[in-house]
Amino acid sequence: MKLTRRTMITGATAALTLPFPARADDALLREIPSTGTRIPAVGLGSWITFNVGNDPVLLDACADVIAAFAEEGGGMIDSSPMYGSSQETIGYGLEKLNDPKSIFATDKVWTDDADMGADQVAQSRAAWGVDHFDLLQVHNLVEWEAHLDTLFGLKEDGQLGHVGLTTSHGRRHDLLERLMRDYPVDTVQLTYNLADREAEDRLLPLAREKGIAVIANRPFRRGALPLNLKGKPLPDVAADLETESWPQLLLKFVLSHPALTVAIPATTRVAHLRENKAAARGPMPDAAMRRRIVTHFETL
Amino acid sequence: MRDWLSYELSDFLLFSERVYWRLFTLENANLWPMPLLAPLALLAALALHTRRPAGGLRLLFALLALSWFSVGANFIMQRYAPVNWAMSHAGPVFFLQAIAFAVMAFTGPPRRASPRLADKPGYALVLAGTLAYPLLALLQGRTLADAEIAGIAPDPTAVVSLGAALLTTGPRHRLAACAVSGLWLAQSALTLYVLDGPAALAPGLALAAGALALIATGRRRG
Repeated sequence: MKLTRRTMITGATAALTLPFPARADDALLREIPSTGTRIPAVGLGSWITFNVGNDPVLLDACADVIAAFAEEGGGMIDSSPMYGSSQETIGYGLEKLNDPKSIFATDKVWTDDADMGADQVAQSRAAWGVDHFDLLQVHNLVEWEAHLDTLFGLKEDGQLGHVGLTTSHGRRHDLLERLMRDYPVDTVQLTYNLADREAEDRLLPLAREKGIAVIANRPFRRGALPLNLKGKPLPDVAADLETESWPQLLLKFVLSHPALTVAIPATTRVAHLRENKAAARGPMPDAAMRRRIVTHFETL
Repeated sequence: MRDWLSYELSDFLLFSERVYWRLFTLENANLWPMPLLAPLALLAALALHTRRPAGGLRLLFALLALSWFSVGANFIMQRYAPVNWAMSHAGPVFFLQAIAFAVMAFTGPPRRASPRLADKPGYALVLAGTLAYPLLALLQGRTLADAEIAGIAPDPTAVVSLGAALLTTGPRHRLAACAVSGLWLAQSALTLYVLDGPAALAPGLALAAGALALIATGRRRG
């Protein structure tokens, strides 16, 4: 399909972009500006944590995390064909759920073969056991031109809710910025956390300007931030934010950026999942508080 | 180029330490009682080697051929590849190593004088792979249920193979017996370094000891 601006912004997407049927408190929902779809602010990543192969014990442990996620209002579960067996693990967890409607199914296209994008999407759908994805993203901008073409085509045909782009670890920000300006993507996924704030300079303001939802990956830097901060004093604003732990403060910091839509921490533990979900509740830091959190973090 | 420089070794490992050790738990349970029988068979071959070197070495090669084939087909392709897609490329290499050992078992080792200088480090590596390696699980705070066992798991099988390389003579036989083992232990040490720092010592030290012994005894011609 030839990619044009017209084909990218038209199409039978209405059925896939209705307000998200989550049970979460409305105050905890965030809007994807391009479609008005509302989803919970805390999603669930699957990088490393859900790559458990065919281990029945670990599959059940991951299914428990997915069940708890649904209980807490559900939202975005994000995966990729790159993440080993994570897609199959999610499919296993969703099959055990009574009501998988609370899940905003999010995956990626990741292949160097420009012609294999549609086939890979079909394989991903089969692994998840879903009819369609709510969001598909071009993983790390690999073969972005061909895969964007495929994804906008799926969206136009009503087989996909949203189209997005991803980067991680602060890589390829220049290209991401150019694509955000030139293509009507619904979402961008990038690394944003208290230690990695490069996106604040250009990408996050641009996302607000263009009405693009932002998904923050690595909000805990693969667990390194809570580990390194364990035992270190929280900033004084933590009390105002009704927060007693670093993981919750780290998530509140990410979620409180005005351009941010969803954060997708990954975990293998139900207790951590519930703690992550709780971070979206209660008071959030304003701009002044955010500056104090950064200042305190930089002194540690 | 700048992007590639920003990658770290950990970026290429998409599974956790917990998942890695669980692979051995499942494999040992699935193949029981082979985790008990396989090391005993390898030790029997070693015992035979002390009395009849040529026959003992042929038996050891034959057992290693079975071990590499079994580890490739079961552990690598069925257990490891689902969590580490790079392992789907490693499986065929394991089968090639199995074929190499099978050919050497069939043709037999080159003629040799006995005993040789290389026998002692060879015995040490075979014993390390069969007897010491499973006990590392206990040292690392795990249980024997997820122990790495020669003939079942790749690392101790590679260590025993390095021992077999020392017990044989002739550069081609030695190379055929040790090349894949050396490469495997090097990647295993890197993997474990990223997953669990200290656990990398076992494959790293085994590789270093095997390489040094092969170089030293190769120069002195056994």
